[in-house]
Amino acid sequence: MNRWTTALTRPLLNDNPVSVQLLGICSALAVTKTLGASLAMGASLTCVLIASNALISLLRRVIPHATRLVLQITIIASLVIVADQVLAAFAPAMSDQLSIFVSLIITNCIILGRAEAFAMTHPVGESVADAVGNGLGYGLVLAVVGAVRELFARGSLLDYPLLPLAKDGGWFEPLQLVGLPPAGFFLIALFIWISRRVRVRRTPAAPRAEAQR
Amino acid sequence: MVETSARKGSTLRTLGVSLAICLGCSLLVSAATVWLRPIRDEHRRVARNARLAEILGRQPGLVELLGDLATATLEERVVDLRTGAFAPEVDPAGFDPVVAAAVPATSQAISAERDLARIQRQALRGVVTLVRRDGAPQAIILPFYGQGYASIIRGSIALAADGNTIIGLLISEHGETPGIGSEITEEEWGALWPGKKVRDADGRLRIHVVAEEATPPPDDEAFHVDCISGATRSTEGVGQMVRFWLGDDGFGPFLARVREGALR
Repeated sequence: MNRWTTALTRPLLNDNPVSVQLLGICSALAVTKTLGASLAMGASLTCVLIASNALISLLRRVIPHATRLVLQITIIASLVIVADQVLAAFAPAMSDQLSIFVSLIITNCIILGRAEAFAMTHPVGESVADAVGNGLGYGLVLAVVGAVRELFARGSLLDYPLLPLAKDGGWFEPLQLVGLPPAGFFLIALFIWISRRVRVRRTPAAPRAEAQR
Repeated sequence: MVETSARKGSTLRTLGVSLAICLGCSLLVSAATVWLRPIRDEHRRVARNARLAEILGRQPGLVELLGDLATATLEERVVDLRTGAFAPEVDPAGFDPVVAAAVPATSQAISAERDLARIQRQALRGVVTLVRRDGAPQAIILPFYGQGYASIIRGSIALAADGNTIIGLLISEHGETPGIGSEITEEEWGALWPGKKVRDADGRLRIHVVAEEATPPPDDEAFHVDCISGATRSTEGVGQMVRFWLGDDGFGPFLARVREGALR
């Protein structure tokens, strides 16, 4: 695999920002009530991440070492404000649903983490690939958790009813707990567990100690 | 020597680059804001109209009065409560009555004997919703709130364009005892309000809610709403709120202007 595809695919599962690096958990808990909101949040974060990685990678030789974190945050904050406004202008309903969590992308550790750990030391192309990979990795976890929560708490996916609700004469009694924020914790924990099992199984060459850790 | 000047240069460079990046970022944000503002304003307008239409549909009596609500237009206006005049400098979309009542600069304390609604402080301005059809005023919706028996009760009262005849009363929010005080939201009690008058021909505030009076004045019927037995405190509380908000400390001065034809 060349460097670009590695940068793109590693963060999807093997080095997933949420399930492996445990970054960006707070928004993953808050906005995963429905699949739609999860996808919108994943897309917003991916866009901001691509733009911030690209910009910071472009400026990586110019940015002074002493003020690099401040400047990275300044750039990220500006991009998030723009993303928030674009969302409010073109998808106002979704913007209302995500409310403050779009602006809180600023504090999402994934973005600053990728800027500092990757974009500052890699050329633009690779940084963009890294951003796409990490954004999709984040979005993947959100989408899985959001889909499970929407299906079991509301009996629908993307607002399309799949399980007939008991209150409308069907058989499905919604699971209240899954709709509450703690369910995000449980589901992300499950996701981490499953993805780590898969990872370990797929690398038989890994030493035993590594596998048992 | 060389080292110091190099360090100085690098400090300058750090400052310069940092400033340049900050400037670039602020340009980006400003450009996005200016470019997207008309689109966002349009969304806000649509959302506000939908919300107003919902208020209109829920307000009792208006459907009966207007028939088809779709042909009515709604307009929110901020009113200066002391003078009763419109305050065109305040955008109703950005006016939050709850905040206005809490901030010292936009509110005033109410002396205990005048505080019928038992709210201690009131905003100096209020929002009225004017309902028109073909430009002609049809109704005025006024918000009210105050302390009930167990909670803050919020609602709105619709008056006819004469500023004196009640069209209907809506309780939109309360935390009164379920099954007892909560009866104030029942249609049966709400149905007692339409047709009642706020003031008599001499301009005295007469509307009131009361259990029973020993010697009611002969013309009392037009100004009198029965309270719900068992929920006396809640219903009389609503009556006092209505008296406060329609009275001289509330929208009274505004309604006086309405009676003089300010809406036409």
